[in-house]
Amino acid sequence: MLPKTLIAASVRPIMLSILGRYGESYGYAIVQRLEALSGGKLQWSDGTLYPVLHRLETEGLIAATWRTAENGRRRKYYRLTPQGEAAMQQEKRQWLDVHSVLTQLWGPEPAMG
Amino acid sequence: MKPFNLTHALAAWRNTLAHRRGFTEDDLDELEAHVCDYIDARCAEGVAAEAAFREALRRFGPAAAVESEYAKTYWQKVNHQRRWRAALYDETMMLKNYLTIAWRNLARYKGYSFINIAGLGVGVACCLLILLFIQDEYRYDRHHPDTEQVYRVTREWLRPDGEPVLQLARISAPIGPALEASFPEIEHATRLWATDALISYEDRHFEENDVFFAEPSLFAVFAIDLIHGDPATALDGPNKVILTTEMAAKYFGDRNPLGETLTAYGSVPLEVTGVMEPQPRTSHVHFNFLASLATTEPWFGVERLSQWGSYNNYATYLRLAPNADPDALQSRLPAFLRQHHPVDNQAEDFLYLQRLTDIHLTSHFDDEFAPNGNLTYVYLFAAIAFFVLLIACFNFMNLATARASRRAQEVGVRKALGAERRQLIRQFLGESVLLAALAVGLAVVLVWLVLPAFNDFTGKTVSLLTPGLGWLLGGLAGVTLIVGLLAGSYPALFLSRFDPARVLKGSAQVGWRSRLRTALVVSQFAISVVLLIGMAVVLRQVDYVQQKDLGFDQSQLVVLPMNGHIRSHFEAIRQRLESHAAIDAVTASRLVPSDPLVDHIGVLAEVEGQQARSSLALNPVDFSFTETYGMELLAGRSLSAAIASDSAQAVLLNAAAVRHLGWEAPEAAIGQRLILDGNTLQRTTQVVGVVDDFHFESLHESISPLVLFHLSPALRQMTVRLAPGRIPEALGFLETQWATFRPNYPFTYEFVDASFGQLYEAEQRLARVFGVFAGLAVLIACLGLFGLASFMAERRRKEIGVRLVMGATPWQIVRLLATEFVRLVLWALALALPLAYGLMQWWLGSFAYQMDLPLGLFAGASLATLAIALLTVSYQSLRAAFTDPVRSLRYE
Repeated sequence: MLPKTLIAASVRPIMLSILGRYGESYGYAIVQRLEALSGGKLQWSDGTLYPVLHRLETEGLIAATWRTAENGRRRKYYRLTPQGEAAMQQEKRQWLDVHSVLTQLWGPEPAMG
Repeated sequence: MKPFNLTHALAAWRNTLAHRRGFTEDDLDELEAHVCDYIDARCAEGVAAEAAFREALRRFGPAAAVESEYAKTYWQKVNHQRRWRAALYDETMMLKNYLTIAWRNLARYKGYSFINIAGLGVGVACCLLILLFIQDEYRYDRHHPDTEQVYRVTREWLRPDGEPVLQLARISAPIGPALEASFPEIEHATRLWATDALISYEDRHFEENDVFFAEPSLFAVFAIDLIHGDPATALDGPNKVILTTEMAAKYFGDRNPLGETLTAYGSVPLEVTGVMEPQPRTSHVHFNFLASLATTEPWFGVERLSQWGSYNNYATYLRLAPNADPDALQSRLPAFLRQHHPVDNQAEDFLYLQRLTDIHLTSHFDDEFAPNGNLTYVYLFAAIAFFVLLIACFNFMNLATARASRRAQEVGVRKALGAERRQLIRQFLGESVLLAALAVGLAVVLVWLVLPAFNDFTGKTVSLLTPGLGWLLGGLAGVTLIVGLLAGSYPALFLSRFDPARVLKGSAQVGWRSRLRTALVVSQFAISVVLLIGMAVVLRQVDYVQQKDLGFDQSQLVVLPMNGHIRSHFEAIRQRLESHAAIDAVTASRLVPSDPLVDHIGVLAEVEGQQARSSLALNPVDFSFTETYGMELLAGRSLSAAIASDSAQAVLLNAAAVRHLGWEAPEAAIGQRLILDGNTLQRTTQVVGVVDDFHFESLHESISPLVLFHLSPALRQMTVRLAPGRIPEALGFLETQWATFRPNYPFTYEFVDASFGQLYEAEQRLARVFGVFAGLAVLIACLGLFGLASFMAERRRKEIGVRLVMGATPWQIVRLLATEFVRLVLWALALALPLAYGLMQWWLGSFAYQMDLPLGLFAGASLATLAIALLTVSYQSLRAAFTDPVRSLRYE
């Protein structure tokens, strides 16, 4: 289990990237996708996922539509907006920067001089 | 224990969430769907419903924690909206306040507001009209596909001294095909031969102009819109013709004319192979009939069609390949021409490529299909449009500034109540942009109202809904913004700087004497004066050229077309016509005065013992030409039918030709031998007479050296001098005679003086345009002056009151107020007069014969401007001077 702060920081890029890579989706499917990708290492309570989605919606990064599934269940589908796309690219650059610093620090010592 | 019921359990769970207030129904739906999805998935893996439900709830997390997450999002959303709404509310209230104040200011000073809006409106309307005109002038010949690739080939002959002898828009027949064969970058070359013709169908005959003979390749060069017929075959082979829809309707009514046969010149059959839309108005060439060029081959014969030097009658157009370099092609043309056509002994000739889209505005050859537009005038109009708009803008700025300075108190109150400078600037700018927008709206309405008359006047069919509509709207919005912002900028920046305390105490110095304002008024009047003088000079010069002695008596002269029958029986016909009492004299010639002197001939003469070789304009004439036209002989005699050698061995020269060839005096030329050495005409002749110079062409041109000689097959036009006061009778007689000479042809005639008048049509139009815009410019300037004067008078009410009380007479007050404006007008005159003088000298330079610039005219325009300005100002000054001082002083 990851600490809460790290989860809180990473949930936004993860949500955006899942919608960006796999297209329009709804809450439950997003959770499933996340579990499959992280092998269960990334977990948080399913209920708190939704406020995050709603916040992204308020910020205009994702847009939502209500649809009715074959079994008659009403589901809210989310998709990335162009602004969301841009936000995702920005997050990606920032996380890759962090990633690159850490990989260099933990990788083999560079040969000096 | 009750068995587990999933539906109930879900309902109960949802209910507990619903009691918390952080969730909406939609939220609950979404969450429930999630839990159900999870349970479904687990059940499918074989987990019991109850276990799956508990697992789902555990994963869901504590309701309180979820709610608090929801609440955070909710408040974020609410705050966001609330902040936005509050800001919007503030903005709307302020905007409402601004609008109220703006409206009250407009309503309180109705006069200024009207002057302000109307002045700018009229200015913008003028500008808009001129822009529409200019836009239309630039639209010519752009309807063809890839029209930038199309060029016309023109030809110029230069004398050895570099002087151009002849410049033609049409060239010899073989050049076009040879060009296409020699240069691979020429995709198509096509030729047009234009003529007038008698066209008949059954027993109906019409004299038609704009009859063109063309090649099938025309379709590859021009956009020809065929309604009926096949472009591949319509002009392929002799005796075929395409009609415009108008001509089809004229000859065949509603019938489809394909396959019908028209007759040209009474004998040439032309089968109708197509019907086309006429070329748009914005084309330099207009076809009524397009017959196949192959039809003409047997008429002219191979010998004439292979001449490289003469018969320059074929307008030749090239379509270049998309990547072709026209400059490179141009540079290879001299070598190409020399290879086929050696230099003539008198003049070296050159071929030039002329861009199709340049023809309308820049091409002014003598043999254009129709008179073209004039780039100089387009620039001139653009300048006028710019200056009228400038005046209107100055006016607007001036009044807006003057009015705004009354609002120091308002600014003080606003500042005291906490308005920031930024807000004040925005208010003033917004207000003046609003005013400008009203004015531009008015301008559009004005243009829409005037457009029919404008189209009548210019012969155009422009409309506000032109293809450049977006461009136009953008321009209008731009004008609104620029004028609004500029006009508002001074009050906005100046007034918003006031210290509120001082303004409200009334001690702030708000009565500024602005240098800017002085400059604006001065430039307004300067521009008005230049336009006024421009109008007057153009009118006077047009009058001058029309009144100038042409060197012959141009009154009562009627020109009629001739045909082969009249030519071969000319002497008998002349005697028959002259026997009528209403007819004084009859003669014939190839060209008549007002026609361009297109043809030149090489001549060889012995002058003062030396061989002189040169080239002269020529005009084949009948014996009685100089007498009928009333030309004055300086030496020798005129041509005479009674002297046998005169029909082939005598020439008349004009005085210009005598000077040109180098004789000292007209008498010295008499009896000298002159060899005419043309491509098609060689004669050894003797100079028998010298006529005084007379104007053949418009007074834009200087008088060309000219040779007149007798050559009856070349006579084209008959000139008849009518007896004074008997014109209707004479014309009636001529018409009956013509019906017998030229059956089937409609009777047409032209008066020589009217033809000369038409040469100055462009100038007359220019004068009228100048007149209209100068009038408007003066009007706008006066509106502004009127507004300013009343404003100044009102501002100095107290001062005037005190002066009156102290014993000043009303006249002293009027003088006090008027002097200031008179000084401004004098400045404007000092600026405008030299400018107008220079401009008019430049314009007059386009005439070979120009009047002296009358200085009285300048004085007149100056006095008129001064008088108008004084009149405008005096009303307000008088009102101020005769106001009871008690009333103007009482308010304190």
